[in-house]
Amino acid sequence: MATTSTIKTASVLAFERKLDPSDALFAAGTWEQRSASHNWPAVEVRTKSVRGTISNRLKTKEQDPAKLDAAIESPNLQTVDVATLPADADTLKVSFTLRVLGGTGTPSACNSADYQAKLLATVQTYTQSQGFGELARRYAHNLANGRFLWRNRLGSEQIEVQVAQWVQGQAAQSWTFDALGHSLRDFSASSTDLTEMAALLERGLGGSHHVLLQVTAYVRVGAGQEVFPSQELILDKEKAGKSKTLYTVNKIAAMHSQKLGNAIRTVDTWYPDEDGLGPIAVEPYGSVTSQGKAYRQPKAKMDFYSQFDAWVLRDQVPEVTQQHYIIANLVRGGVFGDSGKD
Amino acid sequence: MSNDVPPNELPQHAALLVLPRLRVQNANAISSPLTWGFPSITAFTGLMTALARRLGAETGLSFQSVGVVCHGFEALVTQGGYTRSFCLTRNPALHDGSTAAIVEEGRVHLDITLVFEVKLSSALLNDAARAECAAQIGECVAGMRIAGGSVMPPLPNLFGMARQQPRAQLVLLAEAPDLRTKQFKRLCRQWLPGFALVSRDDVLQSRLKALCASAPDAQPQPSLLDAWLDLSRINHRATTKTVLNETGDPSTEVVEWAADNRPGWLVPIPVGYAALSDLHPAGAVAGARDASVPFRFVESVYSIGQWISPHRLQDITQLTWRAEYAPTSGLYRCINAYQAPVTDTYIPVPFID
Amino acid sequence: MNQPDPNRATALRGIITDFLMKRRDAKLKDLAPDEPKRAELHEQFIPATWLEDAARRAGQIQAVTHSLKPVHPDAKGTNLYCPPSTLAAAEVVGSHCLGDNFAGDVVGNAAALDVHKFLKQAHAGSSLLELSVAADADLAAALSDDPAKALAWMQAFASLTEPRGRLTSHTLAKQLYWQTGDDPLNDAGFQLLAPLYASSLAHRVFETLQDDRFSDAAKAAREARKANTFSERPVREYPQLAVQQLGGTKPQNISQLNSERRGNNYLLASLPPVWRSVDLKPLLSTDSMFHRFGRRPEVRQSVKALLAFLKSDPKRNMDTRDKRAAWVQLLSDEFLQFTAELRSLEPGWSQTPACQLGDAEARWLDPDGVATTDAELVRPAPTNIPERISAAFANWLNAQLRDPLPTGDTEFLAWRNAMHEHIKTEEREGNHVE
Repeated sequence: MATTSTIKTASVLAFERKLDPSDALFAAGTWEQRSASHNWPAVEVRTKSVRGTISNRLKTKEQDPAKLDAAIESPNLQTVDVATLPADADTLKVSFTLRVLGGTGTPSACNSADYQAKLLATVQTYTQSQGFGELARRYAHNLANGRFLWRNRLGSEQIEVQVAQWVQGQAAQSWTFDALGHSLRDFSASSTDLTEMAALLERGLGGSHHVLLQVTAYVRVGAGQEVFPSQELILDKEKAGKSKTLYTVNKIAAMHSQKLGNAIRTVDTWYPDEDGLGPIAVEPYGSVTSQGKAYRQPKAKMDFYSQFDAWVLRDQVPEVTQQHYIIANLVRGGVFGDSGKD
Repeated sequence: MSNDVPPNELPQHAALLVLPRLRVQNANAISSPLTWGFPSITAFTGLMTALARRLGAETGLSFQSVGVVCHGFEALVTQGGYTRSFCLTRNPALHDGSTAAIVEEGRVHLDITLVFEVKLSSALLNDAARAECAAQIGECVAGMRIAGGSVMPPLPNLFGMARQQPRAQLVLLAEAPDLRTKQFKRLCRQWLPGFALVSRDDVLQSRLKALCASAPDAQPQPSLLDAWLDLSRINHRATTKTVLNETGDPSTEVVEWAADNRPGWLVPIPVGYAALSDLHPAGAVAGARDASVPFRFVESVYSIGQWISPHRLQDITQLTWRAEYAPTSGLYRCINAYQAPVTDTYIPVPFID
Repeated sequence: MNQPDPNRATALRGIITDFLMKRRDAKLKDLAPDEPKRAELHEQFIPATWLEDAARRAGQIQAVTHSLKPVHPDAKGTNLYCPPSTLAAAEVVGSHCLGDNFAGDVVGNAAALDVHKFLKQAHAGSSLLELSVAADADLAAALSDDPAKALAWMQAFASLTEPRGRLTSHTLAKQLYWQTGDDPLNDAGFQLLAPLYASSLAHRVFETLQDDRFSDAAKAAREARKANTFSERPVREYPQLAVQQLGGTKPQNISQLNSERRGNNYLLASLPPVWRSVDLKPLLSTDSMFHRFGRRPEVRQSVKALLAFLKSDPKRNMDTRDKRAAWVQLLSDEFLQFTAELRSLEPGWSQTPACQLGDAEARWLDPDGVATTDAELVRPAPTNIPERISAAFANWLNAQLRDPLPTGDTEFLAWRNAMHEHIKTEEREGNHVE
């Protein structure tokens, strides 16, 4: 093995993501008709006007001689996007594909041959001693438990998730899960279906041929209920003409692929969980946007960069759980070059 | 090179590799610092190189040029107002919990057909071998990035019904020119509805001539940039015409506003790069992504392209692009050999300004 | 060095002290008369003091034409100063088109931008920067009585256009491989290209578009068009123009010109004409496909242009016939696109009760759907669909031109034959291979 003292992190270093979901599209139908869901109509997004929050301050006072309350003249009308199931449909269908690519640990860009050799050797120790089994098991859980449904999972009566492996446009094998029977808090469930699906993901991550999965979730939320596609991030709301824009693909209500990817890689339980959050998405600093907080602080040497460098550059082998975390970051992909050391 | 590869036979049989109806999700919509809407053609010549390297020599196939036909297109932009802006993605928070800077990356979903001009080795004259090879390439491309986007299975139709990915084709071209034309025309029909991107360098040059002719005394003289911008916009011009009134006297002035004729869908496009620096030897520039390759700082350069119906194309060379390098001028650009039919020539309009 | 000219030196000194006094007074204006900082400011703007400091701070900024930060705001690396005249003239559009009158940009510490403003001050068409580069003797005399000090300052100022540090790219910078050899499998046949943002070029484009969109002259032209009165200036529209924000809420972190543009970067549209592909729906509740066809923007535009051309009563010559044929060709192209789009729908849509198209149009647009019905009913398919469709197209086009042109049978026959020829060619080329 090369002497480690001379190796530095490559100043250009990038990895492509290895779990590549499509956007998820919404359709609507009835729970009993799940087997005929190819005929279900798409869920569309429509706009509606809502009265925004107006101060009720003047309610007690009849008059407003100084015209202090502009809201009286122009009620705070806003236009927002909304998506709902039709009155005769009680079930939301959410479908997407997930491509699982091999070659984790092989950078898409790296400007140091020495570093790359060391990196590959390090990743190889992981694949040989651990393999992708643990990560695959956790990713599989996040398909089975319907975490990718985000807000649509809340308050639903029943959720069925079907996962099929596609080979040449045909379903080669498929599995069905009761999502609500699978916890979001841990990865302890076990079943033959789950084990089989995890084994397939493991082969995809470790193999030379990519694996294509078709994921379909049926969410029984109740007829006419509101459903929740992704919201677009638009800085200039005035120009968009509405205060909330929902994501559509081909006019079909949809969820962003990034949002699905985030849910699937919510496998990190190996961080200092001081707030009792449970699993968080694998991120270099363990950041959770909704909390405005990063749980893996560089100070505590718990972040990806500190541990990755210690492992690859200095042969300080992290605990197995942190090895999972580090490799999961490579599966996530990103630009990790250290230009400060060039 | 391993021993079981047949003795160096250069691929020599002309063929077309067709990757029909690829769904590309989140491709890069910002093609240069001055253009948006469709990935730069350099992204497709780059894909061709990446594909050739992935397949390796054993495949028995060498790539010549690449063409793109766009069938569907959905940009992630705002629709209201006079200008578009890009829908963004929220990046993960930084280690102190603060929001990361938003970097505007325009995205677009595409449905495209890619057509590669290739040469095949004799082993691929066999129909079954060719079909096998095409399937292998289709599988390979499905795991690659195209213009930064991911290749996805086709979108389900409006009723959520999954659609079959059309198979990659490797079409051996006939020797006889007239048969070859018929083959090509037949393929073109399969690419409808759709539009192919071709080069109209000629229009850019003729517009510059027209601008110069209409303003011979202008200081400075109109530049290619002026011609390019002129072709990138819709110019509405006023003309006056004197018409005869009832008594037959030429006395009434009539003003008419009309947009310039634009026969064809002309668009500004990036076509490559021009050198800003010397070619630095490999390893001379810090932070280069590869220290074993010479390095150069460049800027994007532009020309005019046209989206045309594929059945307007006369032969494969009119569709495809290849990357070229001119060492003396330091120009790295993509070339396409489209030639407009005579009746299609751009009708120059007088330049008033 | 040039011949010393005391008058010129005096003029230059005047420019320098003027600049400093104006800046000082602008800052003093906001301070209370008894503010102790006033004395500090007076001190700061003593020319020798300020120039010494400016020469030091000049190292914190760089005058550029091409910058890296617009590529990614966190990227760090080489920026370049490449005046257009030094770039190879090419038959493509690039910074070389700008000529001598281009806007230079500045990158680096925003707190040192005043140094660049100072160096932009000009005497007789030459900026202090240019004079510094030329080591101008009069400027030296104007800067300081101490020739050594003056020379050092000028050198510091002159270095403003030089790249800082060693040549560097970055992991967040764009870097792409370009194949320069014949064999893509040969690693030696590649170069790495690192595109920088052409700041001066982008600024010229931005100014042109701002002028076309918001200047008084542009507004007057738009008013004239609305009122249908004459205007020498055309009205210029940039369809589907996009605005990209560079630098987010801090455009000054990108560059000086970016800050002047408030971070707005204009992007011209290269969109393919399939903007509406998401709207593809079966043709229902209409008895003619030409209603929808005629509403397509390309069709409307082409019909309008053809009508305008014919109304201008052009000379009856070859050129006119060619142009007219080109427009009709475009319309029939568009018709075949339209046809192909509808044929890509799931077959059978024309056989639903909601579809009110006649037999020929249904067969034309949904051939597989009608064929299924034919098979069920055991009824033969007619063979004259192309003729009937060509005739329908000709009728439609005549109707578009009839107001005000007196189109009739002759034109009908011409359009019909052209379309029929077009369809036949397509079919011939399509069906007789393999």
